[in-house]
Amino acid sequence: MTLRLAAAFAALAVLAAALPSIAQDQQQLVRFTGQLLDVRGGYVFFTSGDSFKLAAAPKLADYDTGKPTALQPRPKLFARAVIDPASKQVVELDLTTKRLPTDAAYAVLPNPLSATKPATEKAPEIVGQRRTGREVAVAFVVIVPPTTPINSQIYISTDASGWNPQAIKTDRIDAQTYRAVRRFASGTKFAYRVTRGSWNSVELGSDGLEAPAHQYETTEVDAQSARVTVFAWSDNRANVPEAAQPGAIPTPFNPNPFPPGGIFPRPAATPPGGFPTPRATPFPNNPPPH
Amino acid sequence: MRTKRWPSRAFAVALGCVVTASASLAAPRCASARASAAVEGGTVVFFSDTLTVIARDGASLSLNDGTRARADAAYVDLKTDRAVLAGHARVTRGEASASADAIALELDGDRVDLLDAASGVTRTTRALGAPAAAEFDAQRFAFPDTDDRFAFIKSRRAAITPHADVRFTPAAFPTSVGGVPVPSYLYTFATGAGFASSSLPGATFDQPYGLWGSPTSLTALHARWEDGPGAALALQQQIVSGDEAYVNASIDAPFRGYATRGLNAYKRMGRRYTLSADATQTIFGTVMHGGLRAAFGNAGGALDYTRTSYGSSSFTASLRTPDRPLLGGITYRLTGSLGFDALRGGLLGVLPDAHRYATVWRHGLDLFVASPVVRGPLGTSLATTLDTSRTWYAFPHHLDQLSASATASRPLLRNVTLFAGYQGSWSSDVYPTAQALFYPTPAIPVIAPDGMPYYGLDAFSGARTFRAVNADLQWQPRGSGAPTSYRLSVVHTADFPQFHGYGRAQWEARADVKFRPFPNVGIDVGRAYDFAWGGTRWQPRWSFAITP
Repeated sequence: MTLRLAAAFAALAVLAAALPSIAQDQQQLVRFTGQLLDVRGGYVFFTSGDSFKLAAAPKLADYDTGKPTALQPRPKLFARAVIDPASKQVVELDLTTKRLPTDAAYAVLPNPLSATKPATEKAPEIVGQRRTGREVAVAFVVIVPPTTPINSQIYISTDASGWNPQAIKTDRIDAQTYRAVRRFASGTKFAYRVTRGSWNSVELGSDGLEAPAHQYETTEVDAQSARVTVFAWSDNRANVPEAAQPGAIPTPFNPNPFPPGGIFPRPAATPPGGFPTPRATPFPNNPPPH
Repeated sequence: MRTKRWPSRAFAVALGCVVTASASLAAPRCASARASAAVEGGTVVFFSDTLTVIARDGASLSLNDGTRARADAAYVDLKTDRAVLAGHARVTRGEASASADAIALELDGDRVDLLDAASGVTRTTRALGAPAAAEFDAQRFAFPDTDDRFAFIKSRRAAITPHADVRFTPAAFPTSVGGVPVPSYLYTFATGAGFASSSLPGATFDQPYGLWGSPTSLTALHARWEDGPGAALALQQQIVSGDEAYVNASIDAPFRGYATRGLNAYKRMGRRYTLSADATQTIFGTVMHGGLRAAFGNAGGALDYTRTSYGSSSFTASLRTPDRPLLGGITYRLTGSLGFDALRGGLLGVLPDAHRYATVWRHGLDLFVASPVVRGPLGTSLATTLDTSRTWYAFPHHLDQLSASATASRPLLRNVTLFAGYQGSWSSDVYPTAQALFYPTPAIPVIAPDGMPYYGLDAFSGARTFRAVNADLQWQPRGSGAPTSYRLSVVHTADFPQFHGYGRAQWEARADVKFRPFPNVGIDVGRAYDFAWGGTRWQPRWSFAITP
C-alpha cells in the first residue's frame, strides 16, 4: 500500500512537473500558415510580407500527415511554420501543394516574431492613394504660342482662387516658356486655365476653340510639375482690324483714337465719340484747346 | 443725339432683360440650393487649397434632414461631401441617437460609420437604426492634421451648399494682407468652367465678394483697382451651365471716371462650334459683338460681327489653316478673310460723295511664320516670328502690314537671366489714286503735348513704323520659379509718327518685385518711369497687385 502510494505520488509529481512544461510548449509554439515566397539566407519568406528566421535544422514535414516529406520549400508551395517564440525561429515547416486557408494564428501573431513588417495596405492603384496633406512644391510650366506678344505676362487662373485671371503670376524662362512654383497640400484638386491677365486673352485649345479647364491634383510626392501648352489666345484674330489703342495712329477708318477730342479735326462722318474708343486714361496726347 | 440714344436704350433694355432673365433663372436655383449642412464650433477654419473646413472647441454639425451631430472636433471635405466628427461624437435624429469615438457621414448620402475603441467599426444609416459590424476603412475616418495659422478664413459657422458654396459667419482672413473681417463671406467652389468668365474690364486688383450663389449662378460684388480710374466697385451676375454655356452681366463703377456695363455669353454647339456674344457700354457708346467659331481638325473658321451705337459695324468671315511645317521646325499658317466695314453717313468722310460709301467690302490674306525656339551655346535661346498681310478694299485702297519679332534669353548666373526682345511693325495704308486726299499735309502744325509744333508729321502719308527693343534682367534668389523675384526692364521705342509726347514714350524703365509674405498671399509691386516725354523729365507710375 505504502509502495503504491509512493508510486502514485511519484507519478503525480512527475506529471505535475511535466504538465506545465507541456502546456508551456503548446502555448508558446506559434503557427503561421501562408504561401511561400522564398527560402533563402536562413529565412523563410511568405507572400503576406512576413518573414521568419529558420532554426539551424528545421524539421520539414508533410502538412497532412506530420511525417517527414520529400518536398523542399520553394515558391508557390503552402506551408505552416511552427515558431519557437523564445528563439523567434522556425523549428518546423509543414509543406503542402494544396491551397491552405489563412491560419487563425495569423491575426494574433505577435509582430516581433516577424523579421519584416507585414504589408497589409492594399495597392494604391486599387484603393486610391492616401493623402496626408503634406506640402508639395508644384511647378507650373507654360509653353506659349509664337503669337504671344513679346512683353506679355502669363498668369494661371484657378477655380480655387475664384477664377481670378491673375491668380498665379509666372516668371519667364525663355522665349516661349514661363514657370511658377506654388506649394499645395497633397490631395489638393483644382481646375485651372492660362491667361495673359484677363479673360479677353485666355488660352484656346489646339482646334482654336475654348478648351475645358485643365484638371490638377497634388499627389503624395515631394515635388510635382504641371506642364501646359497654349496653342492660341482668344484675343488673337489674324487679319482683323483691331480697335484703337492709346498711342495708335489715326487713319481714315480710325480718325480719332485719342479721347477725348483727338488730334485731327473730325471729318463730318466721324461718329459721335469716335470709333471704338479705349477707356479714358491720363494720356498726354490731347492738344491744347484752340 | 437721337442716333446715340436709341442703341443705348436698346442696350439697356437688352441688359435689363438678360439680368431679369438671369435673376429669374437663378432664383429657383438659389432657393433649391439652400445650405444643406452647417458646421459650428468655437473655431471654424477653412483651407481654400484643399477645400477643407475644420471646427474645433466643441463642434456641431446640422443637416437639413434633422440630423444633428456633436463632437470635440469636426472635419468636412467639400470635395467629397464627407464629414468626420472626432472625440466624444454623438449623432441624433429625432429620438434615435448613436455615440462613438468618431463618426463619419456623407452630406448628401445616407451612410453613417461609427468607430469605437470598444466595439470596433459599425455602420448604419441616417435613420440611425441598429448598426451592423463593418470593415474598418481608415480613409472614412481620416482627419487631416492642419496648421490653422495658414487657414484662408477663420470663422465660427459655415453653412455648406454641396458642390456650390460655403458661407462663413463671420469671416476673418488671417493670412490675407488687407483682408478686413466681414460679418458674412460667401466662398464659391462650383466647378463650372463658365464661372471663369467675366464681362468686367481689366483691373490691377480685383477682390470678389459673393452675395448669393448656387451650383449654377453667382452674384458678386467686386472691389477693384483699375489702371487710370483707380478704385472701383462692380457688380457681376454669372449664370453657368457646366462647361457648355454661360451668361454674365456686369456694371463697373469707378469712383472717378465713367461706368462700364458689360455682357458676355457663350455656348458650345457640339464638338466643332461655339457661339459667343459680348457687349460693352460706356459714355462713348455701345459696342456689341457676336461670333461663331468652328474647328475642322486643327484648322478653323470664324464669323464675327461687331456693331456700335454710333452707327458703325463690321463683319469678318475668316478661315485659317493649321500650323504647317515649312522647314527645319519652322511653321506657317495662312488666314483668309472676307468682310465689310460700314458707317452711317459714309466711311470715307473726306470724299464729297462719302454717303455712297456707307459700306466698303474687303478681303485679306495673312501669312504667319514662326521659328521654333533655337537653343544656342551658353544656354541661349532664340525665337522669331514674321507676320505679313494685305487687305484689299472695294474702294481703291489696300493696307499692307508686316510684323517681325525676335526674343532671346540667356542665363547670366544661376539665378539671373537676361531677356532681350525686338518687335518691329510696318504698315502702309495705300490709296492708289488719292493718297494726298486721305493723308493731307496738316494746314496748321500739330502741337505736341509739351507745346512743341510737330512739323515732322507733314511727312506722314500713311506709312507707319513701330519698333521696340527691350532688355529685361530677372533675378530669382532661390532659383527658377521661386516665389520671390526681381525684374528690371528697359524699353526703347523708335516709331513714326512719334514726337514729344505724341505716340509711345521713347524710353521706359521699370522695376518689379514679386514676393510672398505668407504661403497663400503674393504681392507684386512695380515702379515705372517714362523719360523725357510729353514735356516732363520723367513720369513715374506705380503698379501693385495682391495675388492668392
